[in-house]
Amino acid sequence: MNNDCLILVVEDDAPVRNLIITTLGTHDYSYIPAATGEQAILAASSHNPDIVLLDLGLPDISGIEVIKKIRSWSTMPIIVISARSEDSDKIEALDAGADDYLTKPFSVEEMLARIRSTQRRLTYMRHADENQAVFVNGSLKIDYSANCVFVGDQLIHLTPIEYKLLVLLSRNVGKVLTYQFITKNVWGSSYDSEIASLRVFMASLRKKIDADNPGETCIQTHIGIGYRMIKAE
Amino acid sequence: MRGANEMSDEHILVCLSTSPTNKKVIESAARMAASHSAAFSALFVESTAFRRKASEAMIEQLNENRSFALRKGAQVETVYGDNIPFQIAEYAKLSGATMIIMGKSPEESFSLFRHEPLTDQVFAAATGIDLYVVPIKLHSSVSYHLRWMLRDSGSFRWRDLLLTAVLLTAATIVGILFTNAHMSDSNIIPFYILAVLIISVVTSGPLYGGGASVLSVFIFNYFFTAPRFSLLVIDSAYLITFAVMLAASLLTGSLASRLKSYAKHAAQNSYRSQILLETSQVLQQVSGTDAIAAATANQISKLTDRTVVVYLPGADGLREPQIYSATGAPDSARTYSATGAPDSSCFGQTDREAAEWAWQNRKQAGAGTDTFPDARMLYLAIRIRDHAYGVVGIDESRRDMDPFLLSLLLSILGECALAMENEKNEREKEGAAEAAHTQKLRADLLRSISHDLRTPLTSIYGDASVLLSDENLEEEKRQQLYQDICDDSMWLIDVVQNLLSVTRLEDGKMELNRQAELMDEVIEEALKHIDRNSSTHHIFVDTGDDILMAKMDARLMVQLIVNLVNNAIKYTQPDSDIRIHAWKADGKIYVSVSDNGPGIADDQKAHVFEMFYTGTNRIADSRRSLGLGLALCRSIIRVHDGDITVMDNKPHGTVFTFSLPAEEVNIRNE
Repeated sequence: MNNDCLILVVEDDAPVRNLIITTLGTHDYSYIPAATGEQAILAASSHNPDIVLLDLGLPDISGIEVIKKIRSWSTMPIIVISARSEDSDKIEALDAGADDYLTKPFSVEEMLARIRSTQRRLTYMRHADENQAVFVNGSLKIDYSANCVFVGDQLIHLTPIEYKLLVLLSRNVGKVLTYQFITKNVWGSSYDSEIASLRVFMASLRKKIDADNPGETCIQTHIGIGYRMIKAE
Repeated sequence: MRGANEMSDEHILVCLSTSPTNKKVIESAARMAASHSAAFSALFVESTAFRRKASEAMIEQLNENRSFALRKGAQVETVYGDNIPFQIAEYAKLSGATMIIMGKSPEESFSLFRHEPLTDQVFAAATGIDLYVVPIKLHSSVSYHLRWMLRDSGSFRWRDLLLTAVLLTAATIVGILFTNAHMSDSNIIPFYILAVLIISVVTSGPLYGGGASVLSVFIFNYFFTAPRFSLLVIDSAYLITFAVMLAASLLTGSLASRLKSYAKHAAQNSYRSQILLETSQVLQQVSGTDAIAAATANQISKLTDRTVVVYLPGADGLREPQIYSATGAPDSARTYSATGAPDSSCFGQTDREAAEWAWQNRKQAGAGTDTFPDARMLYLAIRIRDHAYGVVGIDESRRDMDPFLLSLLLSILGECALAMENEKNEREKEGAAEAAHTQKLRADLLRSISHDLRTPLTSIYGDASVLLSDENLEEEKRQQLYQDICDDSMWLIDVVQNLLSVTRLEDGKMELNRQAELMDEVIEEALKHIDRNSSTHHIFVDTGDDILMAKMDARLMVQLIVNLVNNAIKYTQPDSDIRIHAWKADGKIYVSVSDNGPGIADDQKAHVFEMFYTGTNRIADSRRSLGLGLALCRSIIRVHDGDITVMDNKPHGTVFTFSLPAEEVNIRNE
């Protein structure tokens, strides 16, 4: 595999950092290791990496701070690594601008899969025009100008809310969107009742889109956190 | 407000009055409170007479005294009642006062035909509490105030006047009949004395009795002494008769009226004790703050025949009120929104604000008080000392609350607050016991973990060292060691995950992140986390087409399902079937995990959910289990208000079924 992808690895724990960079090295990724938040911000600004792997528990400044700093000048994809199993940390990181997350302990396969999917998204974003009228992802096609959704050649009938949800997900393809983010964007508020509604709409939306190939879903559920549309290979 | 220095147990209570000299008393009391570093409160007893007759100037003076007391650091209270010494004494006892301070004028003690001085009455009523009297020079007007405030004599009623007239006329008619029958006029005098006696008893206040005494002397003189039908007195001996008659009737009248007032007080007191006794009996039979409040409200509404509302505190501020109409039970049939319903005025903005004020200041507010007088209801805080447990509102739209009833209500609320405090203490005690139990559980857990984690750690450490040092190891052996390290780490990950959940559950803080989740999504997520060994088992999932939504902490619920499925994998032979089935019935979501393994013996079923119970089953790979899994499952399901059961599968195997309250979805479709 030939990867012209530069990855910034921010992890204070040496064995884990070793594990990550060894894995990346064996898969032909180039990488910059960083052990502290300050180093990370410096490296991010000087090397302009393609992807950041960021541990949330850093010795000097919090990972959330690092995300905010980086987001002030760049939209580079950030994958958060969290040792805490509390969902609130991840949600906070995602809301601060992170794109994806990994929970320790994670397997190297999982990490590589996340990096690959982020790469796909990067490629898509580089070639995609901001104002393009049609979105294509695998067999899913959304015609924004005509408000039509196709799976394969089949026109799919969606309710207004389902359509809004699908558009929101497609505009942020590859990114994990938190419940709060989605409900705020669709309903303008995020009460419990809306989160419950969101579940129901999402379930029916997925049924309609995945009707062709059940089991292979393009909308992932992240229990307790949110949803994400995956960019098909 | 009060000094920063440590407070002693002393509590000084000063009595407020409408007198300008009252400030001197307050000041002395404040000095005393400061030197004893005691709690300091000021009390004013508002009587019916005060309400009826207080002049602007008096109210102004009273308010001035009140704010003066406030400035001096007192907690100012007002109670209502006609029996002023009794009210002072009662309040002092209830508030735990150790010292009562009052002003006393020297003139007061000399009043003729008067009750004992107020200070003496308080002294008699407040047994066991020190009474300090600050001597003050009294102006005559102040003395007058004090005097009429003490008795309810100022009232003037037409009925009483009419009765007096009728009785005196009757006595006169009898007298005329006697005279016509040529009987001695001395026989007539007892009739007048009798009339005065009856008047004193049937009318309110000694005014009528006294008036009737004097009047009867004149009537007797006019009608029956020579010369008749004139007030002239010829026989000077009659003057003595008149004097004796006047004295006798005055004395009888005053005795009778005093007797009557004693009787009234006795009746009120016994009524009061009876009501309070009944209330406390009722309150003893219920448990829970809400139930206590409901019982109290019912009691009050039964007693007063008025609508009663109860505000109890919620997470932030007061919750929506409960209404108890005069008929009793909470009136749920009608909706009491701010608009619409007939009785909605008791939830108008003013009333809500009055209730909030009463809650925050722990004082009375609303109808009939100085704060929010426009409100429909009178709001009283349910409180003990400084702690309030809620607010009770009583319909006062007729503005006819009498002081006795009010003081009775306050006593009932006192009982209610006491019951609530007991309840709170009880809860705290239970909480402490629970905490101790958790502490023990945690200690057991730690002991067990440190012991049981050592095994896989030893194997990981050993395997890794061998791999590092022995370079000539056969490839096959090498692979085996790698596999062992991997398996042991996976097992550790599993255990740590469970431990995290346990600590989270047993923390007592219950930081659950409850959200509505779809059960099929949770099951799907859980299946991603189960053992790799599952490839040797067949797992089937059936979630039907219903929307299975329940409020849950998704992470814990995933953990629960993972534990159940992992358990099934662990305790069954390879190639067994594991079925996960989810369905909805009776407003509950059911999930069952069944296997067709060997099953669990009946005598073990009762223990499987106990912590550290691993049964007698030896697990296939002889890996000891922490026995945490199912105990954790039960804890998880308990905090979700659900239930978990274990049953036999047919023909053999085990079925674990858990249920959760289903969440009704109101879909926002716009």
